[in-house]
Amino acid sequence: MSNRAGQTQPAPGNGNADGTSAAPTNGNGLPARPQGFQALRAVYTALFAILGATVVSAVILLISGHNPLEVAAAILQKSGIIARAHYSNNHSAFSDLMGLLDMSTPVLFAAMSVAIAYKAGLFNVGVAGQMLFSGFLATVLVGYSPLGPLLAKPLVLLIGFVAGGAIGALVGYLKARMRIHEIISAIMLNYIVQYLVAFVIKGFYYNASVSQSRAISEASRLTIQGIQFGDAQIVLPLGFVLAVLLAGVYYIIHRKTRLAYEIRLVGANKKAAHYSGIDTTRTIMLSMTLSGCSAGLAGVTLYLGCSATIVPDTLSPIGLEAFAPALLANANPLACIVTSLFVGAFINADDYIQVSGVGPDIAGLYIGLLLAFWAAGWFSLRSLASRRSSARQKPDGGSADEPDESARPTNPARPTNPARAAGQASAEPPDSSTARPGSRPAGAAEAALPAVAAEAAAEKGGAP
Amino acid sequence: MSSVVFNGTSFVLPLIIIAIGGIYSERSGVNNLALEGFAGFGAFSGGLVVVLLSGASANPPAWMFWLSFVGAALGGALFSLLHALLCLRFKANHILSGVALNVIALALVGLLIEQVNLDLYHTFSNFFQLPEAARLTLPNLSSVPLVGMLFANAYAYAPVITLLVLLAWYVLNHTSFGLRLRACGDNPEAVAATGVDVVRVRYQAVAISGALAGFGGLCFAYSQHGRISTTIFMGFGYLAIAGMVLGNWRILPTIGACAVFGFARSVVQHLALRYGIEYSMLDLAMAVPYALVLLLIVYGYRSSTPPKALGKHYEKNRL
Repeated sequence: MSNRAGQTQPAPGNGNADGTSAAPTNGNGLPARPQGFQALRAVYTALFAILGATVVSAVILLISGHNPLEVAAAILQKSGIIARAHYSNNHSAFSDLMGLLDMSTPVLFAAMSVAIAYKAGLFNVGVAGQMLFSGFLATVLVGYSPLGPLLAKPLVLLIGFVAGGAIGALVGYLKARMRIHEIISAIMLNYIVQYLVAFVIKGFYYNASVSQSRAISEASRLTIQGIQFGDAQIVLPLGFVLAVLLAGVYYIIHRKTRLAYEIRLVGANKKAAHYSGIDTTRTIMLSMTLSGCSAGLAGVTLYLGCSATIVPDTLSPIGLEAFAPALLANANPLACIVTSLFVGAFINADDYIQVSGVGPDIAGLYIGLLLAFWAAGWFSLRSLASRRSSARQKPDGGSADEPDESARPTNPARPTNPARAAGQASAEPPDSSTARPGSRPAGAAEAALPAVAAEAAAEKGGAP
Repeated sequence: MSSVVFNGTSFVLPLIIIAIGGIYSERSGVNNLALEGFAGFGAFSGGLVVVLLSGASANPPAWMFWLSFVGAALGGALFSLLHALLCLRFKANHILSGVALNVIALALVGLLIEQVNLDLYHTFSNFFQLPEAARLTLPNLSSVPLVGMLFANAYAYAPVITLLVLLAWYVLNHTSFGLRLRACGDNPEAVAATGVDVVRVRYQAVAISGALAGFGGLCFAYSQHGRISTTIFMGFGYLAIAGMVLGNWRILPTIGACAVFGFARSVVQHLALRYGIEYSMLDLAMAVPYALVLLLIVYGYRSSTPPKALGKHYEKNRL
């Protein structure tokens, strides 16, 4: 291990990132990160991504002769946060806000789908295909049936959950048992689904005058249209309530259960997880299935919620764009709610900005830039986060000047150094249950876990 | 029969050149999920060259056809440098960088096409019209039975792609540059020990990848659409990635894999048309190559040997 004091860009897993000579390690050659490092790193990276994407798209807008402030105002207006100059009949800022929630629902489900897979070290790039498949099945089976709303709506959700999960399970099976990289199989399934669905829709359920599938029944639609609220009409996105509930449930699972711990361990270091006795095959299949389930719910809330039809031959761009909210939230399901609303505001305002003269793709560009800056910042900002979090760790303070809420250590029992890790492992109920003789103390594994996640993910990204 | 061969080759050749672009990048150790974006942005750059230089004239000169390919290669290479910058300078996860660039490419192409049309012609239009693609009949070869069909009335870029493929194969396997490039993907530390700058080689490899993908993307735009719009993002870049994986990151097997997808597609398309299925029903034929990839991978993936350092960041001072 080399000691390169004063170097600003340390090698990963090689020397403590703040360049101090007494680099504590957790016995695995990996540096023990100071308390709160991961949370601080995630916050910094997210802020960096938002700042970078905002600056670059503002410059692009300026070059193309638009005022970025006007575009920002248009997005806020469309989101119902600031008032428009004038509202048409039956329309108010509140209906704009509900429209935002409606559009954010599939984004949130899709973001959770990406996040679940990401925790297990997998990239679910098949969200768009899973969405289309579940949306199509629900449309055909329930959307065109004469069922009443009380029966149709739960059935739509169920079909979405199962259909998306089935494709996710297939990808997970191919990954875990046949060792086929999930990116290849998921992308191929995307296009198979796209073309087969287009074939069936054009053959049987086509409304040729608008080049879309025939509209579904109102009873099966998850977004209730045209509710009178005061003197304006609003939409009521039932799916959003469900999405927030699911995020809460998933957060509890994610924090409190052994399963989620195993998933995170597999994501961080598959070999270590295997040697500590975790059934990695089962874990990978399970997390990919759960990811598919969430993507399926995104599909039904998009195709039987926001819209009531399917445009054949297209995959929803939300599938890839959902990487942005998931990563900004660092795959934390509760943070996903906030980031999905943020990203959803751009997707939602897409056609509205177009009215004010800007091309319709500025939202996609912004989301792509968010992703690019996040990916670039995740490594580049680590020394910064490490320095800050070790400064706050000193007993004489330094934490007082940083009132950052989310930078607090999320797990108070998380050990700050490996010497204490062994002693404290038993203080962590969910983690200590997986500790076995011969394996690393669970606390130490937890501390090192996210630090190696990026490297581990890159390592296992063998194909394509 | 000849229509099957014609459709097949006009689909397979661009696919091969994009896949070879992927091979260059991945053999140097940089994961390339952004091939789709490179191809699309390259095609856009080619269309931009046509629109900027030929202006409003309905009949652009013949050299414009070739100049558009130069533009496509340059545009693809420039755009691919973003991927290289993210992966090599900022040590971004290669796959996330690829996803980001695919999203950016789709949005940027849509945005720029409208902006350019607005600025140049003051019209709201979301596509660039391409000139008619030049066709070519090689007089001697086209009279040979069976093989001749490949050379009769083919797109003029077909022989160029054939030459490019041969050149790419030679450079990768039989030059010192190719050796270094492949070594960077398998054992970058060893390359560094011989005094070669690993990061520099990877930059070059990614730029080559972008240029080849851009070239292939413009071929698809000519043969499949005749115009440049956001519909050029049809997933052929991903199909090329699958061809590369099936071809085990080697050029000759990759050519075989791409040929299998492409000809399977054109055969199904031909059969569908012959048995009276409407033209709009050709989605079934479009799904064939993707389904075939999945089947072939399930039954043939075990021999897969990706480059050893693929997707890993190279650290200069690692001990």
